Amino acid sequence: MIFFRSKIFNKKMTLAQEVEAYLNCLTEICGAFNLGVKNYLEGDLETFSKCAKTTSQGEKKADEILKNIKYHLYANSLYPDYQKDITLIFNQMDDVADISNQVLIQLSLETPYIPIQVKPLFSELVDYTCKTTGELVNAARHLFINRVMIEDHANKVHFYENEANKILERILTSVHQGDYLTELAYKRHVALFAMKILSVSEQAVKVAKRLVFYMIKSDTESYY
Amino acid sequence: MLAKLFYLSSGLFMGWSLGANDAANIFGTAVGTKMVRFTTAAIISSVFILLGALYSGGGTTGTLGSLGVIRALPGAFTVSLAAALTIMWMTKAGLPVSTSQAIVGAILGWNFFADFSTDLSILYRIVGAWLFTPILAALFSIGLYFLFRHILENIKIHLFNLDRLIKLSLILAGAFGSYSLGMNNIANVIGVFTTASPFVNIQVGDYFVISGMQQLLFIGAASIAVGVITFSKNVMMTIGSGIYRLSPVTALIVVLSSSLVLFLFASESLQAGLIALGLPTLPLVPVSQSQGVVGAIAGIGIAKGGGNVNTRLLGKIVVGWLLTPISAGVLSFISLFIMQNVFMQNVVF
Amino acid sequence: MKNIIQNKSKDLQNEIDSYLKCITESSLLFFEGAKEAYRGDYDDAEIRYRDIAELERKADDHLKNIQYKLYAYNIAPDSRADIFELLDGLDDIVDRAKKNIFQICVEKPVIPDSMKDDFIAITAASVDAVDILIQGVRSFFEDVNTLEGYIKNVYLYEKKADALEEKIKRSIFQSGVVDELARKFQLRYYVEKMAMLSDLAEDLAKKMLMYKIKRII
Repeated sequence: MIFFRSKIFNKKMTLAQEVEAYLNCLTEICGAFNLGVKNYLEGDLETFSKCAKTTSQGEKKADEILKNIKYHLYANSLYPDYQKDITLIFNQMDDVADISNQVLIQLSLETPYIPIQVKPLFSELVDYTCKTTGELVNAARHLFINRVMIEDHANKVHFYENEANKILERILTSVHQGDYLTELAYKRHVALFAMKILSVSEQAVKVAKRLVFYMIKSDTESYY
Repeated sequence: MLAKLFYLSSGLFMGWSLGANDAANIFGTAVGTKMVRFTTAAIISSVFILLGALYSGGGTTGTLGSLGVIRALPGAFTVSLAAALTIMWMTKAGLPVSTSQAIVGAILGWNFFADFSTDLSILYRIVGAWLFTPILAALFSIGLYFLFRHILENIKIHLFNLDRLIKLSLILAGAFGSYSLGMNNIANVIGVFTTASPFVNIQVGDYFVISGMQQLLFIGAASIAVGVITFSKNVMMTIGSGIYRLSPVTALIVVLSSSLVLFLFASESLQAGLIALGLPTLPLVPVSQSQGVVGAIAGIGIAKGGGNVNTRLLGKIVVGWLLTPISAGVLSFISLFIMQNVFMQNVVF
Repeated sequence: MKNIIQNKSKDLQNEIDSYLKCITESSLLFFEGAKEAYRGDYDDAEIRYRDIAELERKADDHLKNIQYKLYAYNIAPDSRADIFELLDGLDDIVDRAKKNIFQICVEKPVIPDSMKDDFIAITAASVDAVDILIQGVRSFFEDVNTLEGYIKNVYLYEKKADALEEKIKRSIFQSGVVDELARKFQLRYYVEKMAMLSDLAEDLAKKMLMYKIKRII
């Protein structure tokens, strides 16, 4: 029985290491995303390209680690009652990385004109967005260890998403009601990119909610 | 006195393992789904097992006692030990084992060793009860399933009030299940010790007497209760057999069905009532609660359309019916030989 | 055991009831706000937006209380996660509606007169889908056997919203009423956002049906 439990324990340790590697990857992507958008706003396209490359490579690496996580989960029959929930959480977390990567790709392709009047707001928006991702990573760290802490970090994800939303509202108001942009197409282009950046934190909120649902569902002893 | 307690230990160990394993079948889902706290379940279970054993455990105990009249305490110890070892070995082998079948096999082994004839009419009644247990449990569960479904489809009740009702029902069913377990399975724990009982009547005051039999029932029931309190939580939390993964309502049906079967095969008052009415009765025989649960779960599978019946498990049970009493009988015979010839204890008076 | 004897579920029922009232009122305010925005009364629409935001804050408080009470009173432990997911889903719909109103008030899209009725109709279809969904949620708790009727109606309103979406888009791009491409994209965007509410309602209705099936013994 002890031998059996230590075997399970070792397999869970391997899974935890993979999850930690994945979360580190996500943190790296978020950092590159933050830097990338700010460099774009400053006009430093060289650094922006490097950041875009980092997020792209990070997203590929994250996909590989995610495959390993799913493999360990199913091949070793770990957390059999919650495999579907855990897989869904990680799939949705992967979308956070995907969306961040997509935003930088779209920025490089479409090169929207961001007026100087809203650049500080864009900078604030991307800061809050990265805070939501940061708190999401913290929440996910407690997935197998101390589930009660999930809610604490999930609440912070909600809070920062709310703040990011307020910044978005200010951007939209400024862009559509200010007089520095006259053409509707340009107004909508700027608004679209602001909403794309916010969609990263909206996805983070979705994952945070799923983590909370998992926490409620799995309200039993941890066998870590 | 210590020697007498030592000879009772094999029976008490049987009681402890019965409590540890079978309580999980009664309260497993209620505790597992957080409807009832483990402490609450353990207290209710222990109290009702004691009540069932003390007030209604005489019937099945008498049946086992008359199957094999073991007058020597070392003999009773050895028979009980052989049954316990058979259960341990078969559990390890992954076969669903019945305590009742093990103890009956061990008693038959003693009859063979002591060259006493076995009352075949009692044996046939016992074997018939084993065969009929899962079938009867399945029939009860089919009936209850359709009844509950009809009620739930037609009742207009708030989800939370329904939840409360189900929780109350699980507790009441658990209490009934514990009472039935006590009254039916106490025979497995102390049935072999009835004739060789070391306890004498105790006079309390002028009118109150605690008989030796009552003391034996009490200590047997207490060992079951200790098993419930000390080890049943581990069993309840283990990933594995059937009942823990059931929904609360399905678990309620399964607990009620299996408990009804145990009750029918142990209730002296019910038997007396049926005799008075001139109706056929069921023998008072200790039967397997686990096999009742398997039968009840199979019954629900049949009621839902027949697709989910675990025929592999049912097959294992049939193998167990043959293997358990034979193994216990052989082990009992060998153990009695060793006890008499190696340890120089009188196993047959 | 104490929680079973003392009926704490009434308290939770009241909390859920208050929450659903907030959601219902929010959806009604949204419809009124949308109509005002289509008419060009953006100031009135902004007031509606602020009222919805206030109701949403109250709803969030109720939701937190619901979660706490589900745990503290140990009510329906096997369906707790489903209940919470269901109620949280409603909050998402209201959140989407609130954002739609805000964006309309900020962007002030010019909706051609010939399309105003259709815009109101698609908004009405989405709001009706949400309204029926909320009634379905009530029946999920109170009388689950009537749930399927509500779910069917949500699907109907969603289909109606889809049909109107197609009609309006054709009108935007093929009628020649709107000249500028950017304006066409803008109007298309708002049509899709309005129709999205009924899609969200349909998704939640499907989840609710799954939860109902889980409750069948």
